[in-house]
Amino acid sequence: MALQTYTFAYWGEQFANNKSMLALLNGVGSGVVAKVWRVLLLNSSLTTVTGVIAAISLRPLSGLSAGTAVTAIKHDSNNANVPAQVVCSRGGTATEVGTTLRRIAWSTDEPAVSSATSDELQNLVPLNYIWDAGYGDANVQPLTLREGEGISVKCETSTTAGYLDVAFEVTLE
Amino acid sequence: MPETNVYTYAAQYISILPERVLFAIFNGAGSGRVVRVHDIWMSNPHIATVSPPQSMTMTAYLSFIDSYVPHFRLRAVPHDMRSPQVPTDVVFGWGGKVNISRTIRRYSWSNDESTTGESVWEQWQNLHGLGSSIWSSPNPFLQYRPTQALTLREGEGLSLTLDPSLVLVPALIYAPWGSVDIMIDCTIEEG
Repeated sequence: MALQTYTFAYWGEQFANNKSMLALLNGVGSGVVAKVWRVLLLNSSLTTVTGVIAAISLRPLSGLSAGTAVTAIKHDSNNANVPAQVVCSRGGTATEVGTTLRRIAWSTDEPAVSSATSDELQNLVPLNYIWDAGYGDANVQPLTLREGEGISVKCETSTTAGYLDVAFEVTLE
Repeated sequence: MPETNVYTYAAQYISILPERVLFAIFNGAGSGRVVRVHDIWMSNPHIATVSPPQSMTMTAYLSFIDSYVPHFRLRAVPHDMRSPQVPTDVVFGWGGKVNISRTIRRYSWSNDESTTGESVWEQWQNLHGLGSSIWSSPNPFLQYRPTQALTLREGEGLSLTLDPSLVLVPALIYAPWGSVDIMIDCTIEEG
């Protein structure tokens, strides 16, 4: 039996230095445990930009404020509503804790037709789940966010060229 | 283990147009069913040359919808010919009009044609396990399924639409902007 599942996603967030591109926090008082099964990035720059290689990291959080709220999408409309304490935002202020979970080198250049570079590979969906732990395997835990814990996809490079799509696939228990 | 009835819907050579509904599936009121979409593939079958400036990067949106009027309706192919008929209230098709309620994914896509002897984006879009796979839920037959497929209750649907702001450069031949094939696998269960 599948668990109640939600997608938090934003399409077309512009890169910036040390920016939290998308973050999720399971705030104190939510009464739920949030489990992050998949984190997906896609290169959404459609217009010509002068891209760079940017460091993108997936980092644990203990706090999240400001930014622009992003609403959860239920995978089944019968699912319970997301508690107000579970917040997702783009461009927010993230209080990072602990160790970086993932760090990848990402091209911020736009994809182009008839080309074969990382810019285009960054649009092939199965290749761009930067977190897919334990998917379908009961022996491996997903990223488990208890109250007061969260994650953020962060741009660590000083650039404003290009745009990124980010999606978190999450269950709430 | 009891089997769940699985169906494939497939649409071929859907031409690229602004705001085109590349596919939609809608579980109409009264069907008595729950439709769960587990996998979606979009591939690039176009063979005729698409030349610049007609060839371009474009955007498609995978969205939940709350209504659908198809331009062209297609039948489901059951994976077991003994599976029950799909209720007529469950509609699959391409073209027409949808009313989008919420978008769950966005994809960039090249409409250039596939050719031999190349290894570029358009060819990767035809690799079934790679560029074609745009949505994949957990295998419905795993004993442990952590996350939900895209679940369509009565009055709900799912569509893949092209960007309405897409600007296509006119050309002299028919369908110069390429086309896509769509395939989805879904289970249809008693509601």
